[in-house]
Parts: sequence; C-alpha cells; structure tokens
Amino acid sequence: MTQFKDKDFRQNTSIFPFLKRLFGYTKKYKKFLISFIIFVLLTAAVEAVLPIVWMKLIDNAIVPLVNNYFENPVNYVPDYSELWKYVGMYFILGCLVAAFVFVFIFCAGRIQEFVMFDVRQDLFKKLQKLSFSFYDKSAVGWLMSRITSDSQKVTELISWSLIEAVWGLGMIFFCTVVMFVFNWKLALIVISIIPVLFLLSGKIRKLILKYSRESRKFNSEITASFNENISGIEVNKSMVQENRASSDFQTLSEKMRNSSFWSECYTALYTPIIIFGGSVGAALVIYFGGKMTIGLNPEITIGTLAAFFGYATLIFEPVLDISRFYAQAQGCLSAGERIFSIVDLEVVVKDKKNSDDFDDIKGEVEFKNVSFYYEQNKPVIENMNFKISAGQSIALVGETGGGKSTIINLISRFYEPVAGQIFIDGQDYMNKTINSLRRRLGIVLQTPHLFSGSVRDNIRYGNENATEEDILNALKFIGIEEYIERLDEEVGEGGENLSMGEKQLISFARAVLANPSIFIMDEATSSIDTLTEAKIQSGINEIIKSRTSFIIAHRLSTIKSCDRILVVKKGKIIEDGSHKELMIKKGYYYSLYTRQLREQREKEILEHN
Amino acid sequence: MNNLKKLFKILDKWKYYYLLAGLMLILAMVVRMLEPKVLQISIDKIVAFSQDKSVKEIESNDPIAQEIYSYLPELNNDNIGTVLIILGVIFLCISLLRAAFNVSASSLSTYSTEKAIKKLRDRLFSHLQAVPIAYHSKTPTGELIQRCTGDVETVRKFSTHQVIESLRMIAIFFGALAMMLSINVSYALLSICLVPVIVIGCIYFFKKESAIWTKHEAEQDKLSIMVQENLSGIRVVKAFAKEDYEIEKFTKQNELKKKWGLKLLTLHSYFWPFSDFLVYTQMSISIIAGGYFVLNNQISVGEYVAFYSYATFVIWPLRRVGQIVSEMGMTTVAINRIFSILESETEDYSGNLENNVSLDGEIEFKNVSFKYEVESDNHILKNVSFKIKPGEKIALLGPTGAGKSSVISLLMRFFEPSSGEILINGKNLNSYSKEHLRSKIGVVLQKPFLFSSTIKDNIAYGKPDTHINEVIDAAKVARIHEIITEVFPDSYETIVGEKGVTLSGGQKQRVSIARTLLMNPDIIVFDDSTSAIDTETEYEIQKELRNIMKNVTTFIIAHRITSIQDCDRIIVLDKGEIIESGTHSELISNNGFYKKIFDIQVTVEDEIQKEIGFISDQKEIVKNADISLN
Repeated sequence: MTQFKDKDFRQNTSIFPFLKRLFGYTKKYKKFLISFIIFVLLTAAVEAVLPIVWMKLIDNAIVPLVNNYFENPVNYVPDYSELWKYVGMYFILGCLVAAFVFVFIFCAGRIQEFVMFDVRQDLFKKLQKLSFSFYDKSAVGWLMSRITSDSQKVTELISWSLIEAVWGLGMIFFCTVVMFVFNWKLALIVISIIPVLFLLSGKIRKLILKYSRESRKFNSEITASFNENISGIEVNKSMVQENRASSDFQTLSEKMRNSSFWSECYTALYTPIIIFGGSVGAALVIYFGGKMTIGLNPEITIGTLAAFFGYATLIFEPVLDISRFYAQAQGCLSAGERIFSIVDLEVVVKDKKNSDDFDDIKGEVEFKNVSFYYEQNKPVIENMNFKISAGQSIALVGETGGGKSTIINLISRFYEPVAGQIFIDGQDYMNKTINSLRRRLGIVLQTPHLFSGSVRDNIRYGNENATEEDILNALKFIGIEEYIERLDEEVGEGGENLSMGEKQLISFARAVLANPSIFIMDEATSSIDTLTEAKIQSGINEIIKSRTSFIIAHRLSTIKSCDRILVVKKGKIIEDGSHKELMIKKGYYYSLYTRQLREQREKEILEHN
Repeated sequence: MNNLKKLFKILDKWKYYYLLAGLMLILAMVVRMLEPKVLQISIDKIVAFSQDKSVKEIESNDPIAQEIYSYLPELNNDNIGTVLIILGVIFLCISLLRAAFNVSASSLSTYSTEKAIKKLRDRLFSHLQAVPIAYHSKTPTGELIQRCTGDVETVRKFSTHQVIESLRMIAIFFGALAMMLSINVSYALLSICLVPVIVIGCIYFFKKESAIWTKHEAEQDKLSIMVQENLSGIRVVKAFAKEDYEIEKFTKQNELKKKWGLKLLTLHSYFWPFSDFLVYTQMSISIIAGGYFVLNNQISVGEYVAFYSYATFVIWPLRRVGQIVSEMGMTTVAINRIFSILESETEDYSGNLENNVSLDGEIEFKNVSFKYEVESDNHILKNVSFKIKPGEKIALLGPTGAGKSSVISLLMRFFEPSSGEILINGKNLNSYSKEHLRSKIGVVLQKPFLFSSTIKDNIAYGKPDTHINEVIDAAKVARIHEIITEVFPDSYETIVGEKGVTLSGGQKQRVSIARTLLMNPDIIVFDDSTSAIDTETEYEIQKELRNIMKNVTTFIIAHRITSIQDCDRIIVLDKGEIIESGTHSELISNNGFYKKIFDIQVTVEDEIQKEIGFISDQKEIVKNADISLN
C-alpha cells in the first residue's frame, strides 16, 4: 500500500511550498491573521522597549539623586516624582502588553479553529467523493488520523507556533533597533552573538530530530509488538513462547530507550547551551560596556549598561522560539503532505460532462463486452456479456474472488468498466449521472453497516422524506412488523447493540424504503439463528418478487428462489440458467449445490440437536 | 501520596538518581543567583568610581558580594579595565557552571527515567504474557495497548520534564526569595505580595480550563467516531447516494467542535493577559518600592538592579504552576491505569514433577465439570469422564457450544476444572508444570494467528533454532511447501501478516499445522483447524500425518464427519455432557446423534437424485408433448 510509507517520507524537502499552501487557508481570515501578526509584533516592540524604561529610570530617577546624596549628604532630600513617572510608564506599557496578548491569542485561536474546521471540511468532502478503488486500499484508521491528528498538528503550526516565530522575529528586530539607537558598538557586540546562536541551535536541532525520528519509529514497533503478542497470546501460551517473546521485546525496548534517551538528552542540552551562548554576549557587555561608563565623558550611562546586559541575556529566547517554529514546521511537513495528498487526489468515478439524469429506471441491465481489472495482466472481469430483463431476479454464484462482487460494484457504478459498456434500460450509464442511478438502487451489503442513532434513523437513511407510515409499510413488506416497537431503540456505534441478523433485517427495511428499481444484495455468510434466517428469507423473497435483483447468494434457499443463476468463475460466466436447468446439466453448479446441501444438513443437525 | 509511592515504584532503583539531579538543580540555582550579583557589583563599582575616585572599598554587609570583592584588585584609574575583565570572566564562569549543572540535572533525570521506563515497558509486556488467558478474553486489546503505550508515554514525559521543571521552579523561587530577603526583608516581601493571588488565579484557571477541555474533547471524540463510522460505512453512504447528507452531518459536528474549541481559546485569551497584568503590577510595585529604598539610601543602586532580576526570577515561572498541577492530574490517572495491569494476578506455572517426564501416557478425565465464573450456574462441562490410551486418535464431535474446546483448554491448563480431576499417566495434571505440559501438547487453533515475520519464523515459532530443512519437512506434511516456494515472492523468507503477504484462511491453517508439527508434541490437538482447507488437501494432510504420528495421541475437533471417520474413538458432546462414545461402526449401530449426521450424505444424494429425476421426467413429458404437437 503506497500510502503507508510514513517512515521514509522525504526528509529534505523544502518546507516552503507546504507553508505557502497552508497559509492559503488563512486567506479567508485575513483580518485575523493581519491583526494577529500586528499585535504580536506590537507586543514584541513593547517588550523590547521595557528595558529602556528601566534604564531611564535608573539613569534619571535614581543615579543623579544618589550622586547628590554622596556629594552632599546633609542637604539631601529624596525626590520621588521622576521615579513615579517612570514606574507609571512601566506599568502602562505592562498593561498594553496584556491588552495586546489578549488580541493576539484571540486572533490566533480563531485562526486555529477556523482553519482546522476548513481543513477537516475539505478532507471529509473529498473522502465522500473518492471512489471504492481508493477505499479498497486505504485503511480506515489511517484516514482517520489525517482528519483528526494531522489537521490539528498543522493548524497549531500556523497559530501557536507562529506566535512564537513572529514574536521572536519582532523581538530580534526591535531589540536591534533600540540597541542601535543607544549605542551601536555595544549593539554590534550583542547582535554578533545571534548568528552563532542560530548556528548552534540548528546543529543541536538536527541531532534531536535524528533521534526523535528514530524513537518514533521504535515506538510504533513497540505498539505493534504489544498488539501482536496480545492478539497472539493463545499461540504464545500454547507453544510456551512467553519468555522468548518477552526477551525479544526487551531488545526492542532497549533500542527505544537508547534513541529516546539521546533525543531527550540533546533536548536537555539545547536550552542551557543556547543560554550560555547568550551569557558570552552578556560578559562582553560587562567588559566593553563597563569601560564605556567610566571616564570623564562616559560614552554610556549605568542604566544603558544594565539595559544592554538585559538584552544580551534575553536575546537567546527569540532564537529558541524561531528555531522551534522551524523544527515544528519540519515536523508538520509529513502531516501536511499526507493531508494535501488526499485533498489533491483525483476522483476516478465521477459524472461525465453533459451527462443527464435517468428519469425512471425500469430495471433492464445489459453487460456488453465488459472487462475490468486493476492491473492489466490480472483481469477481474473478462469480456462479460449478459442481459437481464426488467423484473428478473439473478443469483450470482461461485468461488470467492471469482468476480461476483465486482459485477454488482460495476452495476452500482462503484467501479466503471475498463472496456465495454453497461446499459441500464438500454442507455449507456456512463452518459448519465451517478446519483440518479444510485437513487434507484437498493443495496444491502454483506456486513450490514448501521450508523449511531435510533432504528428509525437508520431505516430512514434510505429515504429522508419517508413518513412514519412509509416506514411501517416497509417493515410490513418484509414481514417484520414487530420492529415497530423498536423504532426508538439506539443501535449504538456501527450498530453494535444489535445482532448480525437484526442489522441485516434493518438494512433490508432501509433498502425497501428507497423503493428501488434494482435491488442488489451481498448475502451475509455468518450464521444467524433459525428464526431470523427464516425472516430474512421471506424478506428477500418479498423484495425480489417485483423488481430486478442481483444477489450474491450463499444460502441454498435464496439461490433457488431466484429466476436465474449466473455461475461466475475467474471473471467469466461459466453457467447461466434456472436452478432446474443447471441441475440437469450436472456441471459446476450441480456439484456446488450438492456439497452445500450436505454441509447445510450437517450444520442443521449440529446446531439444532 | 499513594500515587507518589506508585511513581517511586516505577522509578525503581533509579529514583535515587533524582536526588542527585535535585542536588544539581540546587547548585544550578545557587549559581544562577550569583549572576545578578555580578551585575550588581559592576554597577556599584562604577557608581563608586564615578562619584569619588578615592573610594577604594565599598561597604557591604552582603557576604556574597564581599566574597566576590575579595577577588577584585583595588580599584584605581589604571586597572578599571582589569577589574571589568575579571568581572566578565567571573560572570562567564558562573554561566558555564549554571549550564553544566542544569545539563547534568536534566541528563540524570532523563537517564534514570528512560531506564525506569524501559523496565516498566518490559514488566508490562512480560506481565501481559504471564496473565491467564481469561484476563485477555475479558480486557479489550485496544485498551491494554493504550495503557502500555499512551499511558507509559505520559508518565515518561512527566518524569523527564515536569519533575525537573517543578523542582527547578521551586529551587529558583526559594533561592531568589532568599537573595531578596538577604538584601532587604521588607522590600522582598513587597516584591512577592501578589504571588498568592497569581498562584491561586492560575490554579483556578486550570480547573476551569480542564472542565471546558473535557467538553471539548468529548465533542472531538464524537467527531472522530462520526468519521470512523462514515469511513467504515462509506459503501453504504455511496450506495444510498447520501454523500451530501453525510457532509451536512459532519459539518454540524465540526461546527460544534469549533464552538467548544473557541470557548476554550477565549478562556485562554482572558487568562494570559490577566496573568500578564498581575505580573506587571507586581513588578511595578517592586520597582517603586525599590526606588524608595534606594533614594533613602537603604540599598545601593547595584542591589536595586540585582533585585529587579531576582523579582523576575520569582514571578514569571509562577504562571506555569497551574499547568503543572493539571499535568500531575493526568499522570496520576495514567499511573493508576498502568498499575491496574501490573496488579492483576499472573498464572502459576509451577508443578512438582520433573520437566523431562514424557506425556505419552494415559489421559483420564474423572468427573470433570467446568464453568467460567465460580458463582455461575452455567456449566460448560458437566461430569465428563473418559480415558485415552497412548497413541489413540480421538474425535470430539458436537454442536457449537457443546464444550469441545473447553476439554482442550482444561488439558492445556488455560482454565482449571471447577470439580473433578484430570490425570496424565495417573498423576494429577497440576503436578506437571504448565511450561512442560504446554510444550508437549501441540494445538492447532481454529483461527490461526500469524506474526508479522517471515514464513520460516512463523513455522519455527515454537523452536526458533530449527534448521530450515526441518521447517521444509513440516511444511511439506502440511501441504504448504509448494505454495510457499511457488507463490510467495521470497519463498520461506517472505514476510507475512499485517505488513506483508496476506494469507487465505486455509493457508494460515496449514502454516499453523506445520508450526505445531515442528514442536514434536506428545499430544496433538486439531481444534477445527481444517475448516478452511478443501477436502482433498485435508485428506492428503491426514494421510501424511498418519505416517509420522503413529504414537502421538491425537484429538480432532471437527465439524465435517468425513475428517473423523477413521478415528479410534469418537466422543459426542452436547451441552457439556458426553452423549455418545465409541468407534465409527459402534456409533453407527448405536443409531443416535452420530448416525443422524452420517446419514445426511446418503439422504442428500437421494434428495438431489429425486429432484433431478423429477425435473428430467417433466422434461421428458414436455419433450414428448412437443413431439406429439409436431
């Protein structure tokens, strides 16, 4: 399965096309995105300026007065007015930050939720359109995580992670500006540290990435190992392999421990090293800045020195934030690629241009030289021809994998023929719309799938506009009036509260409610108790009486009740006729029937003794 | 407290490393506290220098500052550069030490956590291998896996990051507080006056947050379930052309999820600015108070600047208290779930007999009864007694639920009989160790399970060191050799299972037969294990088996009467009781249940002959009629 190559997802692809595409989703929410960026930048600006206020406070409100005191302690009267002025400024700026934070969290939150909503809508809509051939090779669980976790991961990138990145960039920019305004020499010293920090950060990040990828790989192996050895516990126990399984697992968990340790270890190293890098800058500031404050005409004030010291010890933070964003973007890359790979998939089965609706379908079906295959050298259906007149009931019989299901999937246009044509009521169905065909079909699948909700909801699935009376009539029609009492019963997730037979009966009612012209059914093989089986049989008999029906039949009683039997083997129809005709022929059908009859009788005795 | 004990149990002997890590953290904290001191001294030096060039020493009652002063040369016009270089170097040394202590604290905690977690994983794994089958049949696999992976990961993250983070936070909080107190007590108290408000606010917020979070998660789960249902039922959706309806349904739920998501985020957008506001207010209070102290000459300018740094150390991290508290809650839940596995009872494997005793002796069931639950009245087996001689071939026949598989489960000691006893060679089954017993009884399961590994490894599962030739021999007997060599891409090295080639039911059963044969068991059991194999192949396999398993006691549980006809004895079970027992011919003459099944073959043929005959007759009539019409 091509879609399961998560592990070897390209590691060196550029993240920019992905980011560009992702940001495309924010177009609709431009005002949020713009105000979000503006307010994050404003926050960074204020935070960059705050140390200056602190600096000015020292320089203007404190140092002169302290100097006064030293010069003339006797006449010294403290003056607090300057102090209050600056603290007032500090406080107001602080309140501004709080206000800005409110705005950008508000906007970022909206971007996250709105974009997540949109991505999920896109994915889900696409998934509804994709054809059976896609679902044949995609695991449900795999698709689920695209809609649930991947979409979340990706949108968090352009909301929360983006805050950090924008803040970091803004912080570096504003700090640089402020520092240059006050002293370009010291500013250069502090700024020269930044590239070094980025370089260091990139190097360590790479190591972290390497080991965390590795540990993620081992982690999924560990999950698989748990799964396998719990599901296979009977084998382990009956072959006394518990200890070997455990020691195999220990080898694996040791590998996991190793890579997890190194990934965590480098993570632990990461921040202190970057902070230390910042400290080197701070030490330089003490030395050079200290020198500048001394002398008759000091180049900078003490406050400036304190402020620069502050900048030097703070500058590591934006570096961390920006590189974190980059790392996260890389981490999201594969999630994004997976999402967009689904969104970009081409829908195979779709309406042709200029196709029009079927008016009403009488139910005549014809296959003309129909072939179908996935791979050219492995034909599933080969040059098949048959014609069914309206109202006929057909049993499809033959080995699994012979092509029975493909025939009904072709009729339902879940697949389209690779060669040849299929005519419904004499019209090539490729020139008609898919929905107008499917609305006239009633399909019952081998494993009847119900949706959470009441029995009524599930029956009504066949026809939303059905009245209560229609539902009752449908139930009566297939002879299960007793379900009237149970219409409000909850069926549970996937119908788990009901037995297989009950689900089957409800899916009959669902199909009948749609009043189809063509009834298609893949008969359930699993064992069902006698009473339900009898009900199912009489239900089938009622349904197929009046309309064209195709049934992949397993039960002998169903086969016999059909007008015509098609025996399918290796993609071809090898026998075609009524039960009687085929029995006389003593061919494949005859031996199949004989064998099944014997098995059925054996089962009857074993089960109902 | 109880949970803490459990966490310690998980951390095992490595918990002492955390003490060391804690020590490192304290050292890192101490060193960090010195950082602002350096700045303080630099500033005071400079201030002093600019005020009066003759002031050589600065009065300070701060012992740490004095200590640093003692390293500095006397200050004069010429050596101010040297003094500053020394200060810079001291600062760098302090930073380096701080980084080193922090790194070693984190590495220590990482090292010990990873060691402890590895051991926890191993323990969980081997524990799950050792618990009785009954435990697994009661507990859903998905749940167990979630606990062994997701919950373990939660604990790992907590003890790697949160434990160290909270220790660091506490250390810094008290360290900085101590530093502030040493400078000026009332100033220090003023600088933390809002701390209780901030902490309580955070905890309150995270309580509220987690309530909304739960609702948000519930909506998210509903969305997932909806998608899950839709995707697994996509064929129904398409069959009824309900795509638009489904999209509408999904959109509604997606909207609902969005609504709660926005609620959650709105809460955050109130909380963070609010806490920012509190922090800035606290800082303003601290600055203004400090200003008064400096201006009244109670502290120096340097001390004032240093104080500002300490106040920052104390206040900003406080905002994370709420988060840590809520993660602690999550970890507690995870720990409890992990322990619910570890505290479950394991199987007792012991037995008092030597492990080399051969099992090919008599097997005797003496009035054996069995039920799953002690209190239950629902007997699976009732008073079953029979005796089997070595090398006999026994068939167990009967309707589903008659108790056939339970006979085997009891023999394997997956379950214990509720009364009666089972004897092998005249000795109670319990005197054989389970390990020995199971290695000598080979069971071919009805639903064979293959591991994602090579086909060779799967056949040699019970004896991993087997030579490939033996594997091939076993595969030949089980009639799977040709398929392996001709159909599978890499012959015996083909990977099967989830990640590899998918085998049909019949192929799996044949692999499973080969696997059991390779164990060379004294007793072999076929638990309806040929149901997916066609009759001809089954016949061939049986022929081979007859040759190589002459002396092996064989149990066959089958649904097809053809596969058991030549057994030495056939035991017919119904509703947990033996209703018939004997050879094929005895049972035929007995005219009971067995006879009834046997007769089907004949009656079915009759039935069909009649049907065809009738049709042919009719056809003849029609033909004749046609002819006569002509």
